[in-house]
Amino acid sequence: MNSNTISAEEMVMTAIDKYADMVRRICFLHLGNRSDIEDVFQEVFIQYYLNADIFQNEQHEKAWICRVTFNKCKDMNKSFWRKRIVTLDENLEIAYETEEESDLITALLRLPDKEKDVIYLHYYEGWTVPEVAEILHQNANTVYSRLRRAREKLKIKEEVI
Amino acid sequence: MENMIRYFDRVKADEELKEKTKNYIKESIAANRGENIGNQYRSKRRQTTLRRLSAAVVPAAACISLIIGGYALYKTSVNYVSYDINPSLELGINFFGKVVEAESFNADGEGLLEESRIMNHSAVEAVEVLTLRADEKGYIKDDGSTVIAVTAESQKTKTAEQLKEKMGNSIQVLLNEKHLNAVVYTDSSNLQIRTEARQYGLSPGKYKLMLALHALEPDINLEQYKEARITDILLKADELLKQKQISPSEDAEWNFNLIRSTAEKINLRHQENERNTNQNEIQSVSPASIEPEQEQEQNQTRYLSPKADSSDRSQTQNENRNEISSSPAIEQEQTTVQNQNQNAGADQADAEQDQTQNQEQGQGQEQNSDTGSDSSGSGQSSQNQKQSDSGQDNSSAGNKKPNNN
Repeated sequence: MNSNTISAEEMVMTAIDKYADMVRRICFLHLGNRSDIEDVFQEVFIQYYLNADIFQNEQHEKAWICRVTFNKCKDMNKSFWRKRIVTLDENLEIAYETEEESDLITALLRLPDKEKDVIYLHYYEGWTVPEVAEILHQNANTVYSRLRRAREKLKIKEEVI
Repeated sequence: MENMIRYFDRVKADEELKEKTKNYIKESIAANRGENIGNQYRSKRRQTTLRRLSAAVVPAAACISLIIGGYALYKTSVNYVSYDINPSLELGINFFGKVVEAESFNADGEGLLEESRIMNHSAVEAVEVLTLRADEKGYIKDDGSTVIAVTAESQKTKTAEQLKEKMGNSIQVLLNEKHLNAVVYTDSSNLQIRTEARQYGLSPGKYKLMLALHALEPDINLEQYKEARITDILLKADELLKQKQISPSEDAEWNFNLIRSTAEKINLRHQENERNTNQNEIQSVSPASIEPEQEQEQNQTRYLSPKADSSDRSQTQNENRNEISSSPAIEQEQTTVQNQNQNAGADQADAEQDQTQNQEQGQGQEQNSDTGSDSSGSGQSSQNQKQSDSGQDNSSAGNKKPNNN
Protein backbone atom coordinates (compact mmCIF):
# COMPACT_ATOMS: atom_id res chain seq x y z
CA MET A 1 0.00 0.00 0.00
CA ASN A 2 2.70 2.37 1.06
CA SER A 3 4.88 1.86 -1.99
CA ASN A 4 1.82 2.01 -4.13
CA THR A 5 0.85 5.38 -2.68
CA ILE A 6 4.26 6.80 -3.25
CA SER A 7 4.36 5.64 -6.80
CA ALA A 8 0.92 7.11 -7.37
CA GLU A 9 2.14 10.34 -5.87
CA GLU A 10 5.10 10.39 -8.17
CA MET A 11 2.83 9.67 -11.08
CA VAL A 12 0.72 12.65 -10.17
CA MET A 13 3.72 14.92 -9.98
CA THR A 14 4.94 13.90 -13.39
CA ALA A 15 1.44 14.11 -14.78
CA ILE A 16 1.11 17.65 -13.45
CA ASP A 17 4.30 18.68 -15.20
CA LYS A 18 3.26 16.89 -18.35
CA TYR A 19 -0.39 17.85 -18.68
CA ALA A 20 -0.64 21.15 -16.82
CA ASP A 21 -0.48 23.13 -20.06
CA MET A 22 -3.24 21.13 -21.64
CA VAL A 23 -5.47 21.41 -18.59
CA ARG A 24 -4.70 25.09 -18.47
CA ARG A 25 -5.76 25.50 -22.10
CA ILE A 26 -9.04 23.69 -21.57
CA CYS A 27 -9.62 25.86 -18.56
CA PHE A 28 -8.85 28.86 -20.69
CA LEU A 29 -11.64 27.83 -23.02
CA HIS A 30 -14.19 27.47 -20.28
CA LEU A 31 -13.26 29.52 -17.27
CA GLY A 32 -12.39 33.12 -16.74
CA ASN A 33 -11.33 33.09 -13.15
CA ARG A 34 -7.97 32.27 -11.65
CA SER A 35 -9.32 30.68 -8.49
CA ASP A 36 -11.66 28.48 -10.52
CA ILE A 37 -8.76 27.32 -12.60
CA GLU A 38 -6.88 26.41 -9.46
CA ASP A 39 -9.86 24.47 -8.20
CA VAL A 40 -10.13 22.58 -11.47
CA PHE A 41 -6.45 21.77 -11.40
CA GLN A 42 -6.70 20.37 -7.92
CA GLU A 43 -9.76 18.33 -8.64
CA VAL A 44 -8.46 16.95 -11.90
CA PHE A 45 -5.22 15.80 -10.39
CA ILE A 46 -6.84 14.43 -7.28
CA GLN A 47 -8.96 12.33 -9.59
CA TYR A 48 -5.84 11.36 -11.43
CA TYR A 49 -4.21 10.31 -8.16
CA LEU A 50 -7.20 8.20 -7.20
CA ASN A 51 -7.31 6.49 -10.56
CA ALA A 52 -3.58 6.35 -11.25
CA ASP A 53 -3.64 2.61 -11.86
CA ILE A 54 -6.26 2.47 -14.58
CA PHE A 55 -4.33 3.99 -17.44
CA GLN A 56 -3.40 1.58 -20.19
CA ASN A 57 -1.11 3.89 -22.14
CA GLU A 58 -0.13 7.48 -22.55
CA GLN A 59 -2.80 8.17 -25.13
CA HIS A 60 -5.45 6.85 -22.83
CA GLU A 61 -4.05 8.86 -19.97
CA LYS A 62 -4.15 12.06 -21.97
CA ALA A 63 -7.66 11.44 -23.24
CA TRP A 64 -8.76 10.65 -19.72
CA ILE A 65 -7.33 13.92 -18.36
CA CYS A 66 -9.00 15.83 -21.18
CA ARG A 67 -12.32 14.28 -20.42
CA VAL A 68 -12.03 14.86 -16.66
CA THR A 69 -11.02 18.47 -17.19
CA PHE A 70 -13.97 19.11 -19.48
CA ASN A 71 -16.29 17.64 -16.89
CA LYS A 72 -14.78 19.60 -14.05
CA CYS A 73 -15.08 22.82 -16.00
CA LYS A 74 -18.69 22.05 -16.76
CA ASP A 75 -19.36 21.25 -13.11
CA MET A 76 -17.78 24.51 -12.16
CA ASN A 77 -19.95 26.45 -14.58
CA LYS A 78 -23.19 24.79 -13.69
CA SER A 79 -22.85 25.16 -9.96
CA PHE A 80 -25.76 26.83 -8.27
CA TRP A 81 -23.60 29.61 -6.93
CA ARG A 82 -21.91 30.42 -10.24
CA LYS A 83 -25.17 30.65 -12.12
CA ARG A 84 -26.35 33.41 -9.89
CA ILE A 85 -23.35 35.62 -9.50
CA VAL A 86 -21.33 37.55 -11.99
CA THR A 87 -17.65 36.97 -11.40
CA LEU A 88 -15.17 39.62 -12.05
CA ASP A 89 -13.28 37.86 -14.77
CA GLU A 90 -9.66 38.60 -14.56
CA ASN A 91 -7.91 39.40 -17.75
CA LEU A 92 -6.44 36.00 -18.28
CA GLU A 93 -5.85 36.24 -22.00
CA ILE A 94 -2.38 36.11 -23.25
CA ALA A 95 -1.58 39.16 -25.27
CA TYR A 96 -2.57 38.79 -28.90
CA GLU A 97 0.12 39.16 -31.48
CA THR A 98 -2.03 40.08 -34.43
CA GLU A 99 -5.46 41.49 -35.10
CA GLU A 100 -6.63 38.29 -36.80
CA GLU A 101 -5.51 36.22 -33.90
CA SER A 102 -7.43 38.35 -31.45
CA ASP A 103 -10.58 38.18 -33.59
CA LEU A 104 -10.31 34.44 -33.99
CA ILE A 105 -9.79 33.70 -30.33
CA THR A 106 -12.60 36.02 -29.27
CA ALA A 107 -14.91 34.32 -31.76
CA LEU A 108 -13.76 30.92 -30.59
CA LEU A 109 -14.41 31.74 -26.96
CA ARG A 110 -17.92 32.83 -27.90
CA LEU A 111 -18.75 29.45 -29.38
CA PRO A 112 -20.92 27.05 -27.40
CA ASP A 113 -18.96 24.72 -25.12
CA LYS A 114 -19.61 21.65 -27.27
CA GLU A 115 -18.17 23.31 -30.38
CA LYS A 116 -15.21 24.79 -28.54
CA ASP A 117 -14.30 21.33 -27.29
CA VAL A 118 -14.30 19.67 -30.70
CA ILE A 119 -12.36 22.50 -32.27
CA TYR A 120 -9.75 22.31 -29.55
CA LEU A 121 -9.43 18.54 -29.51
CA HIS A 122 -9.42 18.17 -33.25
CA TYR A 123 -7.35 21.09 -34.40
CA TYR A 124 -5.01 21.69 -31.50
CA GLU A 125 -4.53 18.33 -29.85
CA GLY A 126 -4.65 16.70 -33.26
CA TRP A 127 -7.00 13.87 -32.48
CA THR A 128 -8.96 12.35 -35.29
CA VAL A 129 -12.69 12.73 -35.33
CA PRO A 130 -13.38 9.15 -34.11
CA GLU A 131 -10.94 9.70 -31.25
CA VAL A 132 -12.61 12.96 -30.32
CA ALA A 133 -15.95 11.19 -30.47
CA GLU A 134 -14.67 8.61 -28.05
CA ILE A 135 -13.32 11.17 -25.60
CA LEU A 136 -16.57 13.13 -25.63
CA HIS A 137 -18.71 9.98 -25.57
CA GLN A 138 -20.45 11.15 -28.69
CA ASN A 139 -21.25 9.68 -32.07
CA ALA A 140 -18.60 10.46 -34.68
CA ASN A 141 -21.17 12.09 -36.91
CA THR A 142 -22.18 14.37 -34.09
CA VAL A 143 -18.60 15.47 -33.82
CA TYR A 144 -18.48 16.08 -37.58
CA SER A 145 -21.55 18.26 -37.53
CA ARG A 146 -20.31 20.17 -34.51
CA LEU A 147 -17.03 20.78 -36.26
CA ARG A 148 -18.86 21.96 -39.34
CA ARG A 149 -21.07 24.27 -37.38
CA ALA A 150 -18.12 25.70 -35.49
CA ARG A 151 -16.22 26.24 -38.68
CA GLU A 152 -19.15 28.05 -40.24
CA LYS A 153 -19.20 30.42 -37.32
CA LEU A 154 -15.48 31.00 -37.55
CA LYS A 155 -15.57 31.08 -41.35
CA ILE A 156 -14.58 34.63 -41.93
CA LYS A 157 -11.53 34.14 -39.83
CA GLU A 158 -10.69 30.89 -41.52
CA GLU A 159 -10.48 32.65 -44.82
CA VAL A 160 -7.96 34.90 -43.24
CA ILE A 161 -6.05 31.84 -42.23
CA MET B 1 -5.84 27.54 -37.83
CA GLU B 2 -2.18 28.25 -37.31
CA ASN B 3 -3.19 31.41 -35.58
CA MET B 4 -5.14 29.42 -33.08
CA ILE B 5 -2.44 26.85 -32.63
CA ARG B 6 0.14 29.52 -32.19
CA TYR B 7 -2.05 31.25 -29.68
CA PHE B 8 -2.81 28.08 -27.77
CA ASP B 9 0.86 27.26 -27.69
CA ARG B 10 1.35 30.37 -25.70
CA VAL B 11 -1.35 29.43 -23.23
CA LYS B 12 0.62 27.63 -20.59
CA ALA B 13 0.22 26.72 -17.00
CA ASP B 14 2.51 28.95 -15.01
CA GLU B 15 4.85 27.48 -12.47
CA GLU B 16 2.89 28.94 -9.63
CA LEU B 17 -0.22 27.06 -10.68
CA LYS B 18 1.69 23.83 -10.99
CA GLU B 19 3.31 24.31 -7.60
CA LYS B 20 0.03 25.06 -5.95
CA THR B 21 -1.56 21.99 -7.42
CA LYS B 22 1.35 19.80 -6.43
CA ASN B 23 1.28 21.13 -2.89
CA TYR B 24 -2.42 20.55 -2.65
CA ILE B 25 -2.11 16.99 -3.89
CA LYS B 26 0.75 16.31 -1.48
CA GLU B 27 -1.13 17.77 1.41
CA SER B 28 -4.26 15.84 0.75
CA ILE B 29 -2.29 12.63 0.32
CA ALA B 30 -0.39 13.32 3.53
CA ALA B 31 -3.57 14.17 5.36
CA ASN B 32 -5.15 10.93 4.35
CA ARG B 33 -2.13 8.64 4.48
CA GLY B 34 -3.12 5.23 5.59
CA GLU B 35 -6.73 5.91 4.91
CA ASN B 36 -8.66 5.44 1.78
CA ILE B 37 -8.44 8.84 0.25
CA GLY B 38 -11.17 7.98 -2.19
CA ASN B 39 -13.69 7.44 0.55
CA GLN B 40 -12.58 10.57 2.26
CA TYR B 41 -12.91 12.51 -0.88
CA ARG B 42 -16.25 11.06 -1.68
CA SER B 43 -17.56 11.61 1.83
CA LYS B 44 -16.48 15.21 1.58
CA ARG B 45 -18.45 15.45 -1.59
CA ARG B 46 -21.37 13.84 0.09
CA GLN B 47 -21.06 16.38 2.85
CA THR B 48 -21.22 19.25 0.42
CA THR B 49 -24.17 17.71 -1.37
CA LEU B 50 -25.76 17.15 2.01
CA ARG B 51 -25.15 20.74 2.88
CA ARG B 52 -26.60 21.83 -0.41
CA LEU B 53 -29.57 19.54 0.09
CA SER B 54 -30.16 20.77 3.58
CA ALA B 55 -30.06 24.33 2.32
CA ALA B 56 -33.12 23.45 0.29
CA VAL B 57 -34.70 20.97 2.65
CA VAL B 58 -34.54 22.96 5.88
CA PRO B 59 -36.59 25.94 4.69
CA ALA B 60 -38.99 23.59 2.96
CA ALA B 61 -39.40 21.59 6.15
CA ALA B 62 -39.89 24.78 8.10
CA CYS B 63 -42.58 25.87 5.68
CA ILE B 64 -44.31 22.54 5.82
CA SER B 65 -44.21 22.39 9.59
CA LEU B 66 -45.55 25.93 9.73
CA ILE B 67 -48.40 24.98 7.45
CA ILE B 68 -49.12 21.82 9.38
CA GLY B 69 -48.80 23.67 12.66
CA GLY B 70 -51.12 26.38 11.45
CA TYR B 71 -53.59 23.82 10.26
CA ALA B 72 -53.41 22.00 13.56
CA LEU B 73 -53.93 25.26 15.40
CA TYR B 74 -56.89 26.01 13.19
CA LYS B 75 -58.36 22.58 13.64
CA THR B 76 -57.99 22.43 17.40
CA SER B 77 -60.97 23.41 19.43
CA VAL B 78 -60.19 25.76 22.26
CA ASN B 79 -63.64 26.59 23.47
CA TYR B 80 -66.87 24.71 23.18
CA VAL B 81 -70.45 25.77 22.91
CA SER B 82 -73.12 23.34 23.87
CA TYR B 83 -76.45 23.96 22.23
CA ASP B 84 -79.54 22.22 23.50
CA ILE B 85 -83.22 22.45 22.78
CA ASN B 86 -84.04 18.90 22.56
CA PRO B 87 -81.47 18.41 19.87
CA SER B 88 -78.26 18.31 21.78
CA LEU B 89 -75.17 19.57 20.05
CA GLU B 90 -71.74 20.66 20.88
CA LEU B 91 -69.64 22.93 18.70
CA GLY B 92 -65.90 23.14 18.98
CA ILE B 93 -64.64 26.67 18.52
CA ASN B 94 -61.03 27.15 17.53
CA PHE B 95 -58.55 29.83 18.45
CA PHE B 96 -59.92 32.09 15.73
CA GLY B 97 -63.53 31.77 16.86
CA LYS B 98 -64.56 29.47 14.01
CA VAL B 99 -66.51 26.28 14.33
CA VAL B 100 -64.21 23.39 13.54
CA GLU B 101 -65.98 20.56 15.28
CA ALA B 102 -69.59 19.66 15.67
CA GLU B 103 -70.95 16.76 17.58
CA SER B 104 -74.46 15.66 18.29
CA PHE B 105 -75.58 13.82 21.37
CA ASN B 106 -78.93 12.55 20.21
CA ALA B 107 -80.80 11.73 17.04
CA ASP B 108 -82.45 15.12 16.84
CA GLY B 109 -79.11 16.78 17.11
CA GLU B 110 -77.73 14.64 14.35
CA GLY B 111 -80.56 15.57 12.05
CA LEU B 112 -80.07 19.20 12.85
CA LEU B 113 -76.35 19.01 12.22
CA GLU B 114 -76.73 17.20 8.93
CA GLU B 115 -78.85 19.92 7.48
CA SER B 116 -76.85 22.85 8.74
CA ARG B 117 -73.65 24.04 7.23
CA ILE B 118 -71.82 25.51 10.13
CA MET B 119 -68.27 24.30 9.70
CA ASN B 120 -65.73 27.10 9.47
CA HIS B 121 -68.33 29.70 10.23
CA SER B 122 -68.02 31.87 13.24
CA ALA B 123 -69.57 30.56 16.41
CA VAL B 124 -72.25 33.22 16.44
CA GLU B 125 -73.23 32.49 12.86
CA ALA B 126 -73.34 28.79 13.55
CA VAL B 127 -75.63 29.20 16.51
CA GLU B 128 -77.91 31.42 14.49
CA VAL B 129 -78.06 28.94 11.64
CA LEU B 130 -78.82 26.16 14.09
CA THR B 131 -81.58 28.16 15.68
CA LEU B 132 -83.21 28.86 12.32
CA ARG B 133 -82.86 25.22 11.36
CA ALA B 134 -84.36 24.12 14.67
CA ASP B 135 -87.28 26.41 14.05
CA GLU B 136 -87.83 24.98 10.58
CA LYS B 137 -87.81 21.48 11.97
CA GLY B 138 -90.31 22.43 14.62
CA TYR B 139 -88.19 22.14 17.69
CA ILE B 140 -89.12 25.65 18.69
CA LYS B 141 -92.75 25.60 19.65
CA ASP B 142 -95.02 28.49 18.93
CA ASP B 143 -96.19 28.77 22.49
CA GLY B 144 -92.82 30.12 23.48
CA SER B 145 -92.15 27.54 26.13
CA THR B 146 -89.10 26.26 24.31
CA VAL B 147 -85.80 26.91 25.99
CA ILE B 148 -82.68 27.26 23.94
CA ALA B 149 -79.84 26.48 26.26
CA VAL B 150 -76.46 27.71 25.21
CA THR B 151 -73.57 26.77 27.40
CA ALA B 152 -70.14 28.17 26.74
CA GLU B 153 -67.27 26.06 27.91
CA SER B 154 -63.77 27.25 28.21
CA GLN B 155 -60.70 26.76 30.29
CA LYS B 156 -60.88 30.35 31.34
CA THR B 157 -63.92 31.61 33.16
CA LYS B 158 -63.63 35.00 31.57
CA THR B 159 -63.56 33.62 28.04
CA ALA B 160 -66.51 31.40 28.79
CA GLU B 161 -68.46 34.34 30.14
CA GLN B 162 -67.67 36.44 27.10
CA LEU B 163 -68.63 33.66 24.75
CA LYS B 164 -71.81 33.09 26.67
CA GLU B 165 -72.76 36.75 26.48
CA LYS B 166 -72.06 36.85 22.78
CA MET B 167 -74.07 33.72 22.05
CA GLY B 168 -76.98 34.73 24.24
CA ASN B 169 -77.21 38.16 22.71
CA SER B 170 -77.00 36.96 19.15
CA ILE B 171 -79.71 34.37 19.65
CA GLN B 172 -81.92 36.85 21.41
CA VAL B 173 -81.48 39.31 18.57
CA LEU B 174 -82.22 36.60 16.05
CA LEU B 175 -85.33 35.50 17.89
CA ASN B 176 -86.59 39.03 18.01
CA GLU B 177 -85.86 39.56 14.35
CA LYS B 178 -87.66 36.42 13.27
CA HIS B 179 -90.45 36.87 15.81
CA LEU B 180 -89.71 33.54 17.31
CA ASN B 181 -90.98 32.84 20.73
CA ALA B 182 -88.44 31.06 22.84
CA VAL B 183 -86.52 31.50 26.03
CA VAL B 184 -82.77 31.68 25.86
CA TYR B 185 -80.92 30.13 28.73
CA THR B 186 -77.22 30.84 28.78
CA ASP B 187 -74.68 29.37 31.04
CA SER B 188 -70.98 28.87 31.16
CA SER B 189 -68.93 26.06 32.51
CA ASN B 190 -65.43 24.78 32.60
CA LEU B 191 -63.95 22.00 30.56
CA GLN B 192 -64.06 19.58 33.44
CA ILE B 193 -67.82 19.39 33.27
CA ARG B 194 -67.44 18.78 29.57
CA THR B 195 -65.26 15.74 30.13
CA GLU B 196 -67.69 14.39 32.67
CA ALA B 197 -70.65 14.99 30.38
CA ARG B 198 -68.88 13.09 27.66
CA GLN B 199 -68.76 9.99 29.82
CA TYR B 200 -72.52 10.03 30.06
CA GLY B 201 -72.98 10.84 26.39
CA LEU B 202 -74.63 14.12 27.19
CA SER B 203 -74.00 17.59 26.00
CA PRO B 204 -72.33 19.64 28.71
CA GLY B 205 -75.19 22.11 28.85
CA LYS B 206 -77.70 19.42 29.59
CA TYR B 207 -75.33 17.64 31.91
CA LYS B 208 -74.88 20.73 33.98
CA LEU B 209 -78.61 21.17 34.35
CA MET B 210 -78.93 17.55 35.32
CA LEU B 211 -76.24 18.01 37.91
CA ALA B 212 -78.26 20.87 39.28
CA LEU B 213 -81.30 18.62 39.39
CA HIS B 214 -79.26 16.06 41.20
CA ALA B 215 -78.02 18.61 43.68
CA LEU B 216 -81.60 19.53 44.40
CA GLU B 217 -82.94 16.06 44.63
CA PRO B 218 -80.31 13.37 45.09
CA ASP B 219 -82.83 10.58 44.58
CA ILE B 220 -84.01 11.76 41.23
CA ASN B 221 -83.91 9.37 38.33
CA LEU B 222 -81.65 11.17 35.94
CA GLU B 223 -82.07 8.56 33.22
CA GLN B 224 -85.54 9.80 32.38
CA TYR B 225 -84.21 13.29 31.78
CA LYS B 226 -81.53 12.21 29.37
CA GLU B 227 -83.82 12.61 26.41
CA ALA B 228 -85.96 15.34 27.90
CA ARG B 229 -86.25 18.81 26.54
CA ILE B 230 -84.38 21.52 28.32
CA THR B 231 -87.70 23.12 29.08
CA ASP B 232 -88.82 20.12 31.08
CA ILE B 233 -85.58 19.91 32.98
CA LEU B 234 -85.74 23.55 33.88
CA LEU B 235 -89.32 23.33 34.99
CA LYS B 236 -88.56 20.32 37.09
CA ALA B 237 -85.62 22.10 38.65
CA ASP B 238 -87.77 25.08 39.38
CA GLU B 239 -90.40 22.91 40.95
CA LEU B 240 -87.79 21.27 43.13
CA LEU B 241 -86.39 24.63 44.06
CA LYS B 242 -89.75 25.69 45.32
CA GLN B 243 -90.36 22.48 47.14
CA LYS B 244 -87.03 22.59 48.85
CA GLN B 245 -87.30 26.22 49.73
CA ILE B 246 -83.84 26.94 48.49
CA SER B 247 -83.34 30.58 47.99
CA PRO B 248 -81.88 31.25 44.56
CA SER B 249 -78.79 32.89 45.83
CA GLU B 250 -77.94 30.05 48.14
CA ASP B 251 -75.97 27.96 45.75
CA ALA B 252 -74.18 29.90 43.13
CA GLU B 253 -72.61 26.84 41.63
CA TRP B 254 -75.71 25.56 39.94
CA ASN B 255 -77.04 28.90 38.93
CA PHE B 256 -80.37 28.38 40.62
CA ASN B 257 -81.05 32.01 40.14
CA LEU B 258 -80.79 31.60 36.45
CA ILE B 259 -82.82 28.43 36.44
CA ARG B 260 -85.54 30.07 38.38
CA SER B 261 -85.75 33.15 36.29
CA THR B 262 -85.75 31.09 33.12
CA ALA B 263 -88.45 28.84 34.47
CA GLU B 264 -90.44 31.89 35.37
CA LYS B 265 -90.05 33.15 31.87
CA ILE B 266 -91.31 29.85 30.53
CA ASN B 267 -94.26 29.99 32.82
CA LEU B 268 -94.94 33.53 31.81
CA ARG B 269 -94.99 32.49 28.21
CA HIS B 270 -97.29 29.63 29.01
CA GLN B 271 -99.55 31.94 30.85
CA GLU B 272 -99.49 34.53 28.16
CA ASN B 273 -100.20 31.96 25.55
CA GLU B 274 -103.17 30.53 27.35
CA ARG B 275 -104.54 33.91 28.08
CA ASN B 276 -104.18 34.87 24.46
CA THR B 277 -106.19 31.91 23.35
CA ASN B 278 -108.70 31.88 26.13
CA GLN B 279 -109.20 35.45 27.13
CA ASN B 280 -108.93 37.38 23.98
CA GLU B 281 -111.47 39.91 25.09
CA ILE B 282 -109.35 41.16 27.95
CA GLN B 283 -106.93 43.70 26.71
CA SER B 284 -104.44 43.82 29.46
CA VAL B 285 -100.84 44.61 29.54
CA SER B 286 -99.05 41.46 28.65
CA PRO B 287 -96.92 40.20 31.49
CA ALA B 288 -94.31 39.09 29.01
CA SER B 289 -93.76 42.66 28.01
CA ILE B 290 -92.51 43.38 31.46
CA GLU B 291 -88.80 42.96 31.76
CA PRO B 292 -88.09 39.49 33.14
CA GLU B 293 -85.71 40.73 35.80
CA GLN B 294 -88.15 43.35 36.77
CA GLU B 295 -90.83 40.77 36.98
CA GLN B 296 -88.73 38.67 39.22
CA GLU B 297 -88.00 41.60 41.41
CA GLN B 298 -91.66 42.37 41.60
CA ASN B 299 -92.39 38.85 42.64
CA GLN B 300 -89.94 39.13 45.43
CA THR B 301 -90.87 42.57 46.58
CA ARG B 302 -94.54 41.92 46.47
CA TYR B 303 -94.46 39.75 49.52
CA LEU B 304 -92.35 42.17 51.44
CA SER B 305 -94.43 45.22 50.68
CA PRO B 306 -97.50 44.54 48.65
CA LYS B 307 -98.42 48.19 48.44
CA ALA B 308 -95.29 49.08 46.56
CA ASP B 309 -96.37 46.96 43.69
CA SER B 310 -98.60 49.50 42.08
CA SER B 311 -98.14 48.64 38.45
CA ASP B 312 -99.01 45.05 38.96
CA ARG B 313 -101.96 46.07 40.98
CA SER B 314 -103.30 48.45 38.44
CA GLN B 315 -102.98 45.78 35.87
CA THR B 316 -104.81 43.22 37.83
CA GLN B 317 -107.27 45.78 38.97
CA ASN B 318 -107.97 46.39 35.39
CA GLU B 319 -108.89 42.80 34.95
CA ASN B 320 -110.87 42.71 38.10
CA ARG B 321 -112.62 45.94 37.46
CA ASN B 322 -116.01 44.32 37.90
CA GLU B 323 -115.27 43.28 41.41
CA ILE B 324 -116.19 45.33 44.36
CA SER B 325 -113.65 45.26 47.09
CA SER B 326 -114.74 45.60 50.68
CA SER B 327 -111.50 46.96 52.04
CA PRO B 328 -108.18 47.99 50.53
CA ALA B 329 -106.37 45.28 52.39
CA ILE B 330 -108.62 42.56 51.08
CA GLU B 331 -108.43 43.98 47.63
CA GLN B 332 -104.73 43.80 47.79
CA GLU B 333 -104.79 40.19 48.71
CA GLN B 334 -107.33 39.48 46.07
CA THR B 335 -105.26 41.06 43.38
CA THR B 336 -102.23 39.20 44.45
CA VAL B 337 -104.11 35.99 44.19
CA GLN B 338 -105.53 36.99 40.89
CA ASN B 339 -102.14 37.80 39.62
CA GLN B 340 -101.02 34.46 40.84
CA ASN B 341 -103.61 32.71 38.81
CA GLN B 342 -102.60 34.49 35.73
CA ASN B 343 -98.97 33.82 36.13
CA ALA B 344 -99.63 30.13 36.61
CA GLY B 345 -96.56 28.27 37.80
CA ALA B 346 -94.31 31.23 38.24
CA ASP B 347 -96.21 32.84 41.03
CA GLN B 348 -98.59 30.23 42.17
CA ALA B 349 -96.17 28.02 44.02
CA ASP B 350 -93.63 30.52 45.06
CA ALA B 351 -91.71 29.35 48.08
CA GLU B 352 -92.04 32.61 49.92
CA GLN B 353 -95.76 32.71 49.62
CA ASP B 354 -97.58 34.29 52.43
CA GLN B 355 -99.75 32.19 54.61
CA THR B 356 -102.67 34.55 54.34
CA GLN B 357 -102.62 34.08 50.65
CA ASN B 358 -103.13 30.41 51.11
CA GLN B 359 -106.16 31.18 53.15
CA GLU B 360 -107.45 33.45 50.47
CA GLN B 361 -106.98 30.79 47.88
CA GLY B 362 -110.53 29.63 47.87
CA GLN B 363 -111.77 33.12 47.37
CA GLY B 364 -109.36 33.63 44.53
CA GLN B 365 -110.58 30.55 42.83
CA GLU B 366 -114.12 31.69 43.00
CA GLN B 367 -113.25 35.03 41.57
CA ASN B 368 -111.33 33.40 38.87
CA SER B 369 -114.15 31.21 37.81
CA ASP B 370 -116.35 34.27 37.78
CA THR B 371 -114.14 36.20 35.48
CA GLY B 372 -113.04 33.28 33.30
CA SER B 373 -115.02 32.78 30.12
CA ASP B 374 -116.93 29.60 29.48
CA SER B 375 -114.52 28.13 27.05
CA SER B 376 -111.64 28.48 29.38
CA GLY B 377 -113.42 26.87 32.29
CA SER B 378 -111.77 23.49 32.10
CA GLY B 379 -108.25 24.79 31.65
CA GLN B 380 -108.61 27.25 34.43
CA SER B 381 -110.04 24.84 36.90
CA SER B 382 -107.28 22.32 36.36
CA GLN B 383 -104.85 25.08 36.84
CA ASN B 384 -106.52 26.06 40.01
CA GLN B 385 -106.49 22.50 41.15
CA LYS B 386 -102.78 22.40 40.67
CA GLN B 387 -102.47 25.65 42.42
CA SER B 388 -104.33 24.54 45.45
CA ASP B 389 -102.16 21.45 45.65
CA SER B 390 -99.03 23.42 45.64
CA GLY B 391 -100.66 25.89 47.94
CA GLN B 392 -101.07 23.23 50.52
CA ASP B 393 -97.47 22.28 50.17
CA ASN B 394 -96.61 25.79 50.76
CA SER B 395 -98.81 26.19 53.72
CA SER B 396 -96.72 23.74 55.63
CA ALA B 397 -93.67 25.41 54.29
CA GLY B 398 -95.08 28.79 55.12
CA ASN B 399 -95.54 27.73 58.71
CA LYS B 400 -91.88 27.20 59.09
CA LYS B 401 -91.05 30.50 57.65
CA PRO B 402 -91.51 32.71 60.71
CA ASN B 403 -89.21 30.44 62.69
CA ASN B 404 -86.50 31.08 60.21
CA ASN B 405 -86.97 34.73 60.53
